[in-house]
Amino acid sequence: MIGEEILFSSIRELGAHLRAKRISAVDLAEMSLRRLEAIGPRLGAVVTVTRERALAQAHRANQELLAGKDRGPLHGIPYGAKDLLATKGIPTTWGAEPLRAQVFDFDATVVRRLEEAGAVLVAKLAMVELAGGLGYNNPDASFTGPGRTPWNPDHWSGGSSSGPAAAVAAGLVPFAIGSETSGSILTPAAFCGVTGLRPTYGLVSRHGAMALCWTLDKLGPLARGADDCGLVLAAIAGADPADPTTGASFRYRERATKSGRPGQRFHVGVLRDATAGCDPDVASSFRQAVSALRDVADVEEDVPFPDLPYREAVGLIVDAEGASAFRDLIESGKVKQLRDPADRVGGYAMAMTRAADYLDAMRSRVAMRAQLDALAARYDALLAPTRTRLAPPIGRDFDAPTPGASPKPAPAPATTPPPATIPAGNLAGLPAIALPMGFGKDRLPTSLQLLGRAFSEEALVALGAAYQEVTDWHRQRPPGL
Amino acid sequence: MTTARRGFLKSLALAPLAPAALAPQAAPVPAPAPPPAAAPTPPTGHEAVAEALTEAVKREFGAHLDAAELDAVQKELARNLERAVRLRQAARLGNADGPVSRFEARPPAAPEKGSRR
Repeated sequence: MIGEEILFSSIRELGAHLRAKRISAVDLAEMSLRRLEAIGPRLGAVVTVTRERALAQAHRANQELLAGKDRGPLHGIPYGAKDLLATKGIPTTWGAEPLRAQVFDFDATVVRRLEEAGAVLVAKLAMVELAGGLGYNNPDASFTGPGRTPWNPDHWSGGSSSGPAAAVAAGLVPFAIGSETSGSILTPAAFCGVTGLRPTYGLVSRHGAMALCWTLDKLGPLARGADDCGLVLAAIAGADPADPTTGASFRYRERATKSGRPGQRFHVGVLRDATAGCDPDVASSFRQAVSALRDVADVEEDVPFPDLPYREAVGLIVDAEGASAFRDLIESGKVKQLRDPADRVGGYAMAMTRAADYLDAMRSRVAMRAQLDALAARYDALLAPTRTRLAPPIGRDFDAPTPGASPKPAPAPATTPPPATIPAGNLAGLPAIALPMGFGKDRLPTSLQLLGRAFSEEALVALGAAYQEVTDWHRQRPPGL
Repeated sequence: MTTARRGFLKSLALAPLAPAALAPQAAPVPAPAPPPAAAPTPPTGHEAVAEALTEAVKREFGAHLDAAELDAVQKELARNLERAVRLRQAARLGNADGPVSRFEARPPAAPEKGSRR
C-alpha cells in the first residue's frame, strides 16, 4: 500500500511507480489534492486547488500510459504553479487582493508545455503580492497571509515564490513553478529546504506570466532535487514566439558533465568572503558543503567577486519597470488594498524614478554583465551560501531590530560585505541553483548556491545532482509532515 | 518577483554590515541644546529633490495618500535618489556606453494574446 509519503519522492521515482502500475496518476493527483487542502492553508501556501482540471488531466495521463503513449518523465506527475501564471478559466490573482477575481482565457506557455509533457496541474500556489515588486517589508504580504516554512511554521517561507517552495517542502506537490526577478526562487528554496533553479534570462518563456520587470523576470522550477529541476526545465525551456527574449533550448542529459564525458571532474570557485557576515550556522553548513563537493569537483578557494553596484542597478530597474507594469494599480489607488503597508505606498515613489537614472542602470548593466561573464567562464560554478541568514520570524518587519538583542554595545561592523550574488546574477541574467545544505537554529534550513555562466544549466544541474548523491539534505522531511 | 526587495534585501543583506544601526542602543546621551532662535534649515541635496518629487506625487496621486503615507513616500524617494548617486559613482559611464536594449526597427508578427511584445 503506497501512502502519501510518496509525494516526497523524486520525479523519476514517481514515474517508475506509475509505469509499474503500483499507483495511478489519478491516485497520485488525489493524494496531492488532499494534502493541498489539508496542509496548504496552514502554511499559507495555496490560493486555488484546481481539482477539476487536475483530475481530468490525471485521467487522461492514466489512459495514455495504459495505451503505451508515454509523454516523458513528467507524465502523470502533479505540480503547482505560482499564482502569477495564467491558467484558462481559473483565477490568477498575482497574490493581490484587488486582483482576486482576475481570470485569463488562456494558459501561460509554461503551463501549456507542462500539459503537453503530461504533468497534472493541482494548484495555483501562493505568492507575495505582485511578486514583491512594490517593496514589501513583512512576511505577511499576500491576501493568503504569510508564507510559512514547513520546517518551522513560526518562520517565513521566503518570497516571492512562497507557495511553490513551501508546497514542495511539505510534500504537497513533487515540483512547482516559481518566478524570480531578484531572489524570488532562490530565497524561498533556501528557507524551505528545497532545490530551486533560476534559469538564464530568456531560456523560459514568460508568456502569460505577470510582468514585474521585463528585463529581469525569469520562470523556473522548485523541486526535491537538482535532477528533478533538470527534468522540469527540459519541459518548459525553449523558444516561444510570444516571448521574443527566448531562443535557446535546454537539453537535459542525466549524469552529464560540462563536456559530456563521464568521470570528468567539475571545477568550482568558492567566492572570497562568501561567509562574511553570515549566521554561524550558515557558515558552518557552507564549509561542510564545500567539503562534500570535493568528492566531485576541483575546488578553488578565495575567488574574488567583482565589487559592483548590482543592488543599486537592480533596484532602479525594478522601480522603473515595475512602476510602468503596475501603473494602472498605482494610478487607480487600488494598491491601497494590498496587504503590506509598504506595498500601499511603494508604487508612488517608484513612479517618480527618473528616466536618466533608469538608463544609467541599464548602461552600467552592460559592463557588469561582461565582468561577471569573464569570471563565470572560468568555472563550472561559483559557490556561496544562497542566503546569509536563516528564515526570519513571522510577525516582524524585515527592517525591525531583533527583539531581545543584547544591550551591550554592538560589535564592530564587518569590514567586508559578502558577495551580492543574487542581485548580480539577476542583473546579468545568469542561472543559479539553490541546494539544501543543512539546518541551523530552530531546525531552519540552510542553502548552497551554485552560480553559473549564461546557459550553463546543464553543468549546474549535473553538479547539483552530484552533490545530492553524496548528501541527503534534500531528502529530509519536515517534522509531522 | 523580487525577494523582499527594498526591505528584505537591504535588511538581510546589509544587516551584517550595520549591526550598530540595528542593535538596541545604550542609554542615549542627551543632545546639546539647539542654538536659540535658529531658523529652520531648508532641505538640501537629496532631501530637497525628494521633497519636490513628493510634491509631484501629492499633485498627481494625492487623493490616494494621507500625510503619513506621503512622508513614507518622501523617505523612500530620498533613499532612491541616494541609490542612483551611488550607482553613478560606482559605475563610471562614458558617452558611448549604451544601455541594454532590444528595440528592433522591423516589427514582429502580430503578437499572441498575453504576449510580452
